[in-house]
Amino acid sequence: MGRGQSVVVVVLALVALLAVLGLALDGTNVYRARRILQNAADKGALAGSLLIARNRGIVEITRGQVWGEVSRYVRMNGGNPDKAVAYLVVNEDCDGQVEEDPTDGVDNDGDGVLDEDPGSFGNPDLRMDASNIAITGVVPIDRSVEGVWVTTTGDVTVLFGGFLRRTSETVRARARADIRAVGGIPPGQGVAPIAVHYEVVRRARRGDTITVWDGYNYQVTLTTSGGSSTNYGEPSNPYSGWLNLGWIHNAERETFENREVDQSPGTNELRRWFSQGSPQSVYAGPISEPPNPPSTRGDFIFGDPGIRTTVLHEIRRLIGRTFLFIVYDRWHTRNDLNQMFPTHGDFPEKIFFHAIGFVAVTVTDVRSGGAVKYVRGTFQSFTTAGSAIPGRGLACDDMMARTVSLVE
Amino acid sequence: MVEMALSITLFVFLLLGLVEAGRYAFLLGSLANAAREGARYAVVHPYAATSEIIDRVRQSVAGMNRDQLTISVPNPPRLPGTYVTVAVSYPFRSVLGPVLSGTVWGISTMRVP
Repeated sequence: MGRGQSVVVVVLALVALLAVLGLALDGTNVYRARRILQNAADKGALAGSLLIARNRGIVEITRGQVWGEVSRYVRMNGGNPDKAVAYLVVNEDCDGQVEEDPTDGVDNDGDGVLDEDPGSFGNPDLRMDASNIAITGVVPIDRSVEGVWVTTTGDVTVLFGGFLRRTSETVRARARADIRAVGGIPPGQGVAPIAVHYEVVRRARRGDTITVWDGYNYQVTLTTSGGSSTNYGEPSNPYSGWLNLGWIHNAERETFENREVDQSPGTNELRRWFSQGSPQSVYAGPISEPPNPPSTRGDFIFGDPGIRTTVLHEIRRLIGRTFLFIVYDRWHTRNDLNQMFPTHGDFPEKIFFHAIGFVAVTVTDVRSGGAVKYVRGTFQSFTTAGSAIPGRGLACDDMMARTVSLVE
Repeated sequence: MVEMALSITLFVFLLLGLVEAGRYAFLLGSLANAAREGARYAVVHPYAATSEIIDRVRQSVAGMNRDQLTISVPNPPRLPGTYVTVAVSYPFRSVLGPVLSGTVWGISTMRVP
């Protein structure tokens, strides 16, 4: 090898080395930036939706407050709010009907029309960013807002991208968090073994009073804050139920928590469940309205119509406490369930309430003696951690216990 | 001359080793990112089909032959409170031979809310 030739070899080799090393370093940097931005977008969307969920139906909040929360969480998680944009997710089908899952093609409310996914991404009327919020920040958030989209953008300096004549790479991340009826409540979280038909909840507003009667034709009375009362239910079609949470069927969770076993709970256990919350998890399924066939997803909990007298005494000691009542859409006989789940063994001789959500009620009054007994309470607003699965709950509803979680 | 030949050989091997290490690091980062993208998609879409998540993972990798990816994803429904683990692997074949070759993994676990 002649004098100076090795220099050429070394230079060529170093160029190749730097190029591959650069690819690895720049690639790692871009992925790292992407991860940080995705985290910032996730947290911003969750924070914005949570602010709406916790206040909707209680106090009025504005777009400015939502943007303030989104930008704060984007900044805290490494994003730049000046390069972030948020859009409100709006459900234009706030007809008080049942929520539908646009992806499963099931017409839950039986109106012949499939509700569309309230996407709203890219709609300039729903846009919030650092520049326009000074003008649009005063616009109030109404009941139709069901979530928040957030996009975050960042530029990553690429040290070795100079080989490709690039000095920086633009990275984007997008997230959407929705507010929906909560899909499941874990043990000990305040679920009371009382079921209420969703027709009652559909018409309720925060502050309205619910009275669940015993020995009074299984009726439920809803009294608005204005004082007008409506009765629901009759002996052949109870609108409330006392649930023996010792036996729960769920086609997706047959062996979960050993719930599908008749545990024959005694009075003391029922009392304990009331004072300490359900010992079992309870999972809601999608609502299904006639003429649609009943939903087969979610918990089918066996119980009796009305409310059990023996523990009304226990509830009297707990006046002032807030419970989660289980909301159901239909009840089924053993024969119904045998037909709905033909591969399952024979079901016990009981009626089964199909859980579709939860509603928070603060107990204000109990009458546990005499021919007519009742438990009375006030509807509250309730937001908890959980999964937001499309198709649960009522469209744009403020009463069903709700949760916020990422859906995109 | 002999010294030069020996040192050049050593140098080239060292150089190729560094290049391969860089390529390995890039694959590692890309697979970790793809697994994370897949796991995130799986937990925010608990009823999404396995094929959708696999597509998501495939779209997230760069600089490799997607047909050689092996992707493992749990089947739906992915129930609330459970954990989803997405694992992606890719055969790494070094130009330096089988000693430095093997399988590169990217694994991500997330909890379904």
